[in-house]
Parts: sequence; C-alpha cells; structure tokens
Amino acid sequence: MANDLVNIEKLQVSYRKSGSLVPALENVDLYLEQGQTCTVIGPSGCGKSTLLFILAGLFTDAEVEVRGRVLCPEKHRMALILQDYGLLPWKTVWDNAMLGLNIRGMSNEAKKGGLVKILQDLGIWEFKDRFPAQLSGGQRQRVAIARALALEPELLLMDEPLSSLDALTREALQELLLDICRKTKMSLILVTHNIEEAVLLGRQVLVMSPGPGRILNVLENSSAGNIGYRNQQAYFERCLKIRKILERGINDAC
Amino acid sequence: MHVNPSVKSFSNYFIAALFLILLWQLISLCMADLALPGPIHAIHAFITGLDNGISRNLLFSAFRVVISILLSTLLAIPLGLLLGRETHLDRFLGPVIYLIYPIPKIVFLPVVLSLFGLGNWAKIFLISLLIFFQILVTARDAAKSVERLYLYSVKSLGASRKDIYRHVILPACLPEIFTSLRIGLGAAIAVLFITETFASSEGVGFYLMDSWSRMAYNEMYAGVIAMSLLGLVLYIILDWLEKKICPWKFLY
Ligand SMILES: Nc1ncnc2c1ncn2[C@@H]1O[C@H](COP(=O)(O)OP(=O)(O)OP(=O)(O)O)[C@@H](O)[C@H]1O
Ligand SMILES: [Mg+2]
Repeated sequence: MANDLVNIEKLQVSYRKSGSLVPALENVDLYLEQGQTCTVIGPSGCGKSTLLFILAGLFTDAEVEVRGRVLCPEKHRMALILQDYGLLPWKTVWDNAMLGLNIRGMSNEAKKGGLVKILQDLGIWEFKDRFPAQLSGGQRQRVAIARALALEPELLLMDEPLSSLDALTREALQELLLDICRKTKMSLILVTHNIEEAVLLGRQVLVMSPGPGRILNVLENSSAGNIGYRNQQAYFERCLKIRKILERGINDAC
Repeated sequence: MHVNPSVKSFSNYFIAALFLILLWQLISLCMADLALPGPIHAIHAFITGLDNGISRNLLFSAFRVVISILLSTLLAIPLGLLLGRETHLDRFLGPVIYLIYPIPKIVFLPVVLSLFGLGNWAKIFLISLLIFFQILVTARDAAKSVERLYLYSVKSLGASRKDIYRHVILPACLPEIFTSLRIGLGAAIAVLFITETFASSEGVGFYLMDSWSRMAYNEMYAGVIAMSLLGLVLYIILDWLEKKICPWKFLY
C-alpha cells in the first residue's frame, strides 16, 4: 500500500441545504496508485464534481457532511481544474497562470520559465496580457490547465477540462496530458462526459449513476494511456461496454 | 480619422460646459435680476478672486474632503470586507450598522461641533462619518455576494485566508466600492458645504456665504464655480483611479 495516493472507502457526502441534508454521494470507493490515471463518467448531477471537491478538500463543515474514509495527499501536491475554469476575471492570463505559484511562494525564475514553456505548448502565450473576458471558452480552459500544470502536481484533478475544445486541440491536449503523466509520474483523476475520452485516458474508468451518486462499475482498462489505443478493437469494445452500463444505469434510476 | 479617446471625451466635456454656460447666460438675461449675474461676470469674479481668497479657501475645502475620503475608505474597506465574510463578526456588528446607516449624518453637526470645536477636525469627522458608513455597507454587501467558484478556485491552489482577501475578495468588491464612492462624493461635498457655513472662517462654503451676506453676487457665483470645480476634479480623479485599479472593467 506504499504507493497509494488516494484511498477512499464508503464515502458518503450530503449537502446541507437550509437545515436538511441532501445526499450527493453514497458508498463511493476509490483507490489510486501513484502515476495512475482514473476517469470518472456519469450523467449530469451524479456527483462527479462533488467527488473532486472532496478530494481537493474544498468544502467546509458548514457546506457538507462527510462520512467514510478519505485519504488523499496533502493539498500542496495536487491541483484542481474546475468545471468552469475558475479563472479570476480581474487578473490577466499571466497573473492567473502564476497565481498558484505565487500563493505557494514558488514564483522563482525557473518556475516562471517553466510556465512560459507551458503557455507556449498550450498555444496561449500570445494572450498573456489579456483578461479572461477577452478569451474564448477553449482558451480560458487552457489557461486553467496551464495554471495547474505550473504547480507540477503529483495528482491532477480535472473537471471536464477538455469539453469546449475543438477535436484537434482536444486530441493534442490529451496527448500532452498522457505525456506528462508518463514523464513525471503524475496521477490523474479526470471527470468527463465523453465516453471515448474516458476510455482513452483512464486506466481505471468509474461509471457513476445519479440520485444519489453511486459507482455503478469500475472498469479496468490497462491499455489506456497510448494514443494508438484510439484505433484498436479493444478500445471500441470498451467504449460500447461503458455506453451499455450508462444506459442501463439511467434506466434503473428512472 | 482616428481620435484619441481621452481627447474625444475631453471635447465632449468642453461642449457640455459650453452648453451649460449658454443656458446660464440665457436665464440670467431673461430674469434680469442682480442675484443672477451672467456667467461672464461670475467667471471674471472667479479668476480675479483666485488671488483674492478663492485659492486659499479652495485649498482648505479640498484638504478637508480629500483627507476625509482617504481616512474613511481606508477604514471602511477592510472592515466592510471582514464583516461580509466573517459571519460571527457580522452577527454582532451587523445590527449596529443597520441602525446607524440610515441616520442622516448631518444631524450630528451640533454634537460634533461641541466635541471637536470649529476647526478642521469637526468637518473632517462629519464627512468621514458619512463616507465611512456608505463604503462600509457597500463593501460588506459586495463581499457577501462574491461567487463561491472564485473562492474554491484559489482555495484549491492552497490559498490562506489572507490570500483569499487579497486575490479574490478585495478585487471582486473594488468596482462596487468605486461606484459607491462616486455616489457618496456628492453627499460629502454637500456636508462639507454645510459645515463650512457654520462659524467658519475658511473654505469655499464660508467664502460663498460671506459673499452672499455682503450681497457680492458675482463673488457668490465665483464660489459656486469653485465648489463645482472641486466636485468635478474629485470625480475625474476617481474615474481615473478606477481605470488604473480595475482595468478589467474597461475592456471594451
Ligand atoms: N452547493 C450545493 N448545494 C446543494 N446541492 C448541491 C450543491 N452542489 C451540487 N449539489 C447537488 O449535488 C448533486 C451532485 O452535483 P455535482 O455538481 O457533483 O454533479 P456533477 O456530476 O458534477 O454534474 P455535471 O455533470 O452536470 O457537472 C446534484 O444533484 C446537485 O444538485
Ligand atoms: Mg460537475
């Protein structure tokens, strides 16, 4: 168990809403080793974002009630990319991307140089002096990704980070992510609505169902992590299988 | 042709001023009353008066109102932001503010004069009181409604409470604070005027009332011009500051 980065058992999360508790997650187990990737897929409202928020330790006691065992690395070793990017409108692209380094007191020249490289790789360097309101959705998303990668996290939590990108940019970013995971042993938990993306990126695919959020199935998907996987028969079979599980889950819930 | 936008807005102001002066001229011609001299006379009195008391009185007034704005905003912004975010503090102090805020601060004039005397500090205290509560309430309400998303965003980067105030709460509230300050400026100058007319021997308010009591109508209007200029210049400075400090509000 020396390598476990995330270890969650029987997680139950309820939102506090005007005095009463509304369950959002029930009986969720999640185990992730260092350097591994996990994707989470499920219909809207099944608690995917809630799960990431719990992992990032964002909630206060006033907001949710948590039961079960949640073990995850210290906050400074992970980075979270929020569903709506979480960029601050009053900071330029550069200041937004530097924010994590600034807050953690790591804004030295080497890190700045690294960030320049990341912004260039992501194709947003030319926008560094703009404000988020002056960017397209996909460009904002890439700024959020740059901000997270600048921290060189051990665990990267991403909430539908690639959803508003065109097909080619999306594939380029998927490759970039896989590349970083391989080179730096970064672990990844990625929430997505896209079955193909889930199968391509996650060595483990969690399929969730709503009302309250539960894990329907954990798919081992050990070939994930190669771009070539996209064209293999096994890949299509996995995609089909997940589609069936999702459809069945929705039928059961209704 | 491409025109520099600041030149353009300057020429707009110029045309507006010209329009008002013409209107003034027209009304004074129609009324033909000594108490409403034409703008030429008033402007002439203003320019000759500059060497003869107006500059000095204008400096006094400007000093009082600028110091009041600085003092009150520097106190009210941090306190307002804290009240907006720290619920336990707000539960205690909120009702107090709720009771004091709607009181027109000018009613404290006699009290303040008795306590601070007739000098600068009574006036500064009263104007500060007015702006303080205005900014306090604005900052508190703005801080309360900061989007949770932004808080999560910086918390996930490891932000401490201080980081959250610095990177999120303060910048998120600044535009509303500027708006409130701009609205408060008019009331502040009105209060300045009233305090200066009471047992005072300097300030534009004093100059104006003194001219009035001497029936020196041209000088009286020179005082009106001085007071208006004070307001206008402060307003322009606020605008300029907001553009410097909140550039993301002026992208288009
Ligand atoms: N702050 C909150 N207070 C109360 N209930 C909430 C809150 N945030 C989310 N919920 C509820 O919890 C459930 C799970 O929400 P969550 O955002 O985790 O879903 P999701 O799987 O990320 O959905 P999507 O795919 O649309 O992003 C939803 O039913 C939602 O209404
Ligand atoms: Mg979500």
